[in-house]
Amino acid sequence: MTPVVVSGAGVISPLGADKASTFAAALAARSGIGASPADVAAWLPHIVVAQSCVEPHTVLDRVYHGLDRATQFALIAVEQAIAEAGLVTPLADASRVGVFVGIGFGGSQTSDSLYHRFYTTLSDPAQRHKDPTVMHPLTVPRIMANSAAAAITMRYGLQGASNTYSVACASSAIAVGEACRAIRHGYLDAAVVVGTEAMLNPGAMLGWNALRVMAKADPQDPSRSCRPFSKDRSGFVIGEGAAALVLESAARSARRSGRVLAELAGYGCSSDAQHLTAPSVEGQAAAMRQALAESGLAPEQVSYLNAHGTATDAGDVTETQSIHQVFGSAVRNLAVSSTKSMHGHLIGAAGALELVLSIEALNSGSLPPTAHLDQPDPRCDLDYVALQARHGCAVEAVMSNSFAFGGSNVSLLARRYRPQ
Amino acid sequence: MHRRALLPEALKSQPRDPQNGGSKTHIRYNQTHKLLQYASMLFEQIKNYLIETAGVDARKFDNPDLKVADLELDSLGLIEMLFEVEDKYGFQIPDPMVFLPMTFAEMVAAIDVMVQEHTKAQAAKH
Repeated sequence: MTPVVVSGAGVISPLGADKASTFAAALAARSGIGASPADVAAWLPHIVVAQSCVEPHTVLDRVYHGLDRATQFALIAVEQAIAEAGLVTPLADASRVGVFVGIGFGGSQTSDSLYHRFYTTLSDPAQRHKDPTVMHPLTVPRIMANSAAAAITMRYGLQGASNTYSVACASSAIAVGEACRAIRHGYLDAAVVVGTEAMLNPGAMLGWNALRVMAKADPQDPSRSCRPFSKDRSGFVIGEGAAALVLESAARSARRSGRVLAELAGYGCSSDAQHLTAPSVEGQAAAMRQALAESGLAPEQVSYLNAHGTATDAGDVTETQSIHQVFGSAVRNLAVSSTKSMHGHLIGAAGALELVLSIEALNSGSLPPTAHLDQPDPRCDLDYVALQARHGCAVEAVMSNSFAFGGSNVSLLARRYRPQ
Repeated sequence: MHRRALLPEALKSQPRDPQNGGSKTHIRYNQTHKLLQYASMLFEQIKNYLIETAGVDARKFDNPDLKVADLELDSLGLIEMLFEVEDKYGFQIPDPMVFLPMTFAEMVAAIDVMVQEHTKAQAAKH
């Protein structure tokens, strides 16, 4: 089976408008967390969120302005990834290049706008002459979860499989893993993978609020509100944005002398089959073990792990235990951090974003920290790279975990690429 | 937004316009005048949308016999264009396909009739 390499990556996030600025902000422990949009804050004044640092329409051509916000984020991240990979479209082998998308909620912004328009038209006396059922004709194509996949295939003329995975917080980690398998098993030679999410709207946030998992705003400094592995954690912060990767068979990459950021060496996935939202050590450990087994790496060879680390009590403690179980004595040499402390939880985009940050750590030898971790939870006893980035590390391989509501666990492993 | 600035306020208030009280001739004159003014506003509204948002070549509108088919809109493009009117007046145009064989001017006139009927029906309701 052919090795699969990462040949480009792109990001639009609460930390930056591209990959370099996002990684630099993460290394500087700078948080992108802050106040909610006004229409959310009107109902949920206590909620903090991680908004994209750039409004997507300001960097997109006008023809894309009608698309859902999540699709717009995806297009921006993909454009960067394709540029870094040096792919020039139209591709001669377009039918061998697929698109794999991960998204949690689909076109959440468009859904929310639909209901908002309906009830506003219905209840506003000034609009009594209007039929509230009149909606934009492209409402459905904007809401559908595969809207981003469709936009990407059309923009770049990519004619291989275009699949969308909606697996909550693991969506884009699954998309990366499944794209990797499709290439490894010869169904495709390359794939554009993107995770995207845009759900900082009133309807979605009312739902999250009701689940009682969201962080309380830090009264002194709202940007410190997400504190994974910390004794004073209070839950997670929803973010928005997208991250994209171009995956390629090593053979295709070599043929065109393309750049290689890393080899995608292992993918593991499992289901807890236990509880809707509570995590399980067995399920998480199974995913990590599969990824290690597929890569042929020993736990000692992995020196950085980007944790799922959402800053919920159950999540932080369970992940700590499952890392102990898988890595055993090798945890002594393992640095673990949760960058969600800075960029928040991008749900469908989380897996891809955190893999991209992990690959940046692999190539730079600089490990992003777990921000705001000055009061460690004694039950969480790993090396979490607390507060400050660590530089000058020799990194051979990195792991990124994504564990979803619904009990889906994904672990991805990337390593330095050494052609055979 | 530019296209919202084109909304014909004149017609919106017409059904209840107290200034229309007077001689029958006067009413007819006023209404005809407003209808013409309004129809041209509708024409401009759709035309501007097509040029600015849908990317239709502005020079096409110099031709008085311009056909709807010559706009080269696909089926989604056609209903997106109609939404410009639907959004403003608050009703759904039933069958978009009836416009395909028409000229652009005929289509605007046909939509104009629908807007009039909707506006009248709404006025009767309230």
